[in-house]
Amino acid sequence: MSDIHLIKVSKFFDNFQAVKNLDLEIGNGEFVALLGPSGCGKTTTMNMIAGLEHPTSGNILIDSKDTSSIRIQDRNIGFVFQNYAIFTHLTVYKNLSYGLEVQGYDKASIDDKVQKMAKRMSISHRLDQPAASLSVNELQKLAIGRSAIVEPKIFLLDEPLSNLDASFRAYMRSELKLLQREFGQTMVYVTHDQIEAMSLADKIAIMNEGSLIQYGPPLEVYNNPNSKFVSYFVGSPKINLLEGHLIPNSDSSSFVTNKDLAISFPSNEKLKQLSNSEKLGASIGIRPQNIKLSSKESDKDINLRGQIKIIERIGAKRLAHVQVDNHMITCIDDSGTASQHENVIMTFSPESFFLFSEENGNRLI
Amino acid sequence: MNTLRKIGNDSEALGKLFVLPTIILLIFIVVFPFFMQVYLSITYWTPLDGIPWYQAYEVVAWHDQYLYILEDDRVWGALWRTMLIVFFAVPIQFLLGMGLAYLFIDKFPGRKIFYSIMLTPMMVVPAVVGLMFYLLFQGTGPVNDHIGLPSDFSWLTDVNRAMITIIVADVWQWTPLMFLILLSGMLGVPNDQILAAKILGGSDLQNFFKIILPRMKGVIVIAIVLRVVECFKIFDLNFIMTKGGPGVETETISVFLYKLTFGEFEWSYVAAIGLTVLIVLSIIAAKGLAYFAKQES
Amino acid sequence: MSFIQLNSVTKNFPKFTIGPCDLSIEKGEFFGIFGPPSSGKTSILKIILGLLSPDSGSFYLDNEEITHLAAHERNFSMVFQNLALFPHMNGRDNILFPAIESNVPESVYNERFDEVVDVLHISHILHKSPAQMSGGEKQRIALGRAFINKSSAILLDEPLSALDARLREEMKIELKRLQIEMNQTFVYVSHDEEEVLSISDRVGIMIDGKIRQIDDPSVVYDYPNSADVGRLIGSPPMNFFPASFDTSSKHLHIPNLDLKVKIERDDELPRKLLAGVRPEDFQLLEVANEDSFKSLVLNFEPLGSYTIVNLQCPHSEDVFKIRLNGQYNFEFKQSVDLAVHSNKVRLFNESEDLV
Repeated sequence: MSDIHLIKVSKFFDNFQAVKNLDLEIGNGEFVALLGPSGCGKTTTMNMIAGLEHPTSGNILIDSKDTSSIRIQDRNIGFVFQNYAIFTHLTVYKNLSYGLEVQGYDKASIDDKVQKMAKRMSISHRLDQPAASLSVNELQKLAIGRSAIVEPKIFLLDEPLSNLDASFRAYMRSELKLLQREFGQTMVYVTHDQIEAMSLADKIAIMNEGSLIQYGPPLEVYNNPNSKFVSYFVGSPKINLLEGHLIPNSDSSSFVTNKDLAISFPSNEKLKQLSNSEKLGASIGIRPQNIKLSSKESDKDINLRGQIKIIERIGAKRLAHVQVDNHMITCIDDSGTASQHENVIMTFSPESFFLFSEENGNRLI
Repeated sequence: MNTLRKIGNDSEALGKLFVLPTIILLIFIVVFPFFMQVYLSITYWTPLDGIPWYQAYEVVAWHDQYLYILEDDRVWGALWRTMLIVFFAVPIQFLLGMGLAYLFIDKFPGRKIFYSIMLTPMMVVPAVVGLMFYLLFQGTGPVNDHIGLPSDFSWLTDVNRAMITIIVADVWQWTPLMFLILLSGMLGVPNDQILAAKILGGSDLQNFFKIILPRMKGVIVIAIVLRVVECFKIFDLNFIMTKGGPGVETETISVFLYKLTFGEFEWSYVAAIGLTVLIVLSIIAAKGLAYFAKQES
Repeated sequence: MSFIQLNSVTKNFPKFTIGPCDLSIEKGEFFGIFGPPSSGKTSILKIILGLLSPDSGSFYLDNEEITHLAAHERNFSMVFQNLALFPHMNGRDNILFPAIESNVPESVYNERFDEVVDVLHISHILHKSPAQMSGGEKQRIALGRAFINKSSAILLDEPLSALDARLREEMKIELKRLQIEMNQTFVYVSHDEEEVLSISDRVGIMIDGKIRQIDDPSVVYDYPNSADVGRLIGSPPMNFFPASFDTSSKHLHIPNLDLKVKIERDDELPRKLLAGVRPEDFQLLEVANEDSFKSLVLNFEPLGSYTIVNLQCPHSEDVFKIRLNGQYNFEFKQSVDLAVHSNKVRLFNESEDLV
């Protein structure tokens, strides 16, 4: 078992900075997801922990030991590649036994461990077959089994579910969660899918353009995003973001979007603190779940009028994409009766939205 | 014009049309001379007989020439010496090529320059290589000088050591080819499998034997078959360095046939020997390629 | 006859047969085809496009038979999974390529070009080469190229699979918006069930080469015609439990859950059944009542606006999933009380068809 410390880690590829001054602490036995869009630096970060890349500056400590002088072979890390990197010229058995063989285990122990792991991963019936003949789903299980069998202190997974079809992905999510509880290792998981990160991780590290934006448990990141980017990236369905200017006043503030939609609401304490009667460039973020379709306007909530353009079905739920002036705003259709082209009223409470600064994206309210 | 347009749309016919010139060429260069050779090999004909070659049926020998091969010591001697060279030269250049290729897998500064340098020996004309080593291995030459041997320590004229010089020259010239082929085989091994093996704790040596080498089987067979067949035909090096000497010490089958052809004019006998060698080498090559095809599937 | 009509189309492959398939797609419809990998959905698309010829059956477009018409004469556009943009051309040239190749007069295609660029919001990336574009931008250019000629229908083969999850959600809505605005017929193939069901007007479910159900997504979702279909639809998909029906007491008995549910049905039901319940149709109770049952929590997934809980069946090794609105916290092996409403239980007979 091990904890991982990244201290001011930066990585340059020629002139491109892939990772910027990253500080990250992953506790012993924690399941941490590195979440972010393509190119945010999450895979590079994980590669540095594994030793596949070296930081240009900064330190990476595993179990309080600096790793810069430790060879890949000696790090005792499990790594599942995105395309699995299975030894296709070997059988399933030989793939599973590789790590044990090179570390000098005797034949009897190897056989015992391989049989157990194959059973655990439900691939016992494929042991003697060439690994190349396995389906994608089975390759996934083999890749995990091959890494897990040597009982590494730390388990790194690089977008392991991205090649799988949607239904198997959901199944593997639960499997991975169970596995991690069983083996108890520290797990670091790279993904661009926030649903995966939310469902699996104890903590999520959200990255964008090489920097760590927010780090915390899933619900913390969801309920209290520290920036516009985090609120946009985490949460299903996606948050509604309106960009414009806030005009704070002591009684009632108003917000005018860049496309000239105006909203006003009573000022709470925080809004009053912002008010020096100057316009403040900002964004409002409201989650679709917090917006209701209503038949009449509400006195205490903010009202928006618009026309439903698209109805989107998410399982049993329906999302209505409503055109309000020049904006498309998404809300949940609880009743299930909304229809396309219908004119509707949407209401949301002024307590339910986030306010982000235009300048740096940080959360103001 | 209409036929051309028709052919233009029919990709099969178009393909055949493109291949036609090559086929015609092949018939003239390969097929016809081959049948000519078979024809001559069953006769006693030589150009000194006075009759044109197509009338060689007048001196038909049927299997006589082939029977003579079985008794001819010179043939067997040449074959033996040829095989000796192949037996030493090919494995040595294989191992050297493999070792060098391994060094070139990962990037290092100057890799591109060294790569070009590595390939130069095989780009040199074999006759020139022969001349080069001829000069190097002179008694008074640089080799003796640098090792510290006296100038009367002969290489090329020594009964035992002449063979060594040929082998050295062949290794020098053709290791780059092994290097090239084996390196491409190594680079064909998916890099993340090598990384995965490292992460699982495999040392570089373990990974080489368990991951890289097994995946190179097909390429290794190709490299070895290629060189065995080519080395068997070795001519330029030994002809220029020692003329097959001293005596017949470095007389390979090709040198022997050369002497028979241009010295003794025994053309029909040469035809028979040549055909026999061709058949033997073809069998080796075919077996090798069949193995390669099986590996690739 | 519908705009696009496939009648009993079959195609034989060495280890697999597709069909016989019947498919009717209306003009201006967003028709989705969903199925697990290797179910034949890409092959059906290729048959429609003309890259594959059916072994039997017929194919009609706007009442004209085109079963064996060559692909380039069919007037369909296609958006591929890997987009297949020409790397040496910029955005503008990529989009105009089909128009120029089919000798459309310049005045005609220029007008259409402006329309397409406007609808797709891509005027600012037309000068870029594909290598300089982001995933979403490339996606739009590929769509622009599909739209430039007025085709009878646009066929899309997993067009979003190369994109990041978040971008996929955004582009999905974009596709729907485009389809509505350009009034185009879309045939959309994907192995992502949520994606296909969310924006299609009607959806066809393909399993093992056969189309098992064609209907409005809501109908397929609420009333899958077989357990096979039920297992594929929904995130998480429907839970299945063996069940038996006692005709005299009108009670459905689900042994694994130790649950008896009163079913109001007058028709004859077979004794042995399979009961399907969607994860969101379970209710979490504060206190147990006579209709509830207990289960143990194995783990849960906090997804922000909802939570998925994996539970152990009280009387078997099986695991089932439920979906709760809102945020919850559970302990490992915590016991909870659950209930399910009888009209949310779908019953399937032994051959796994809906009853």
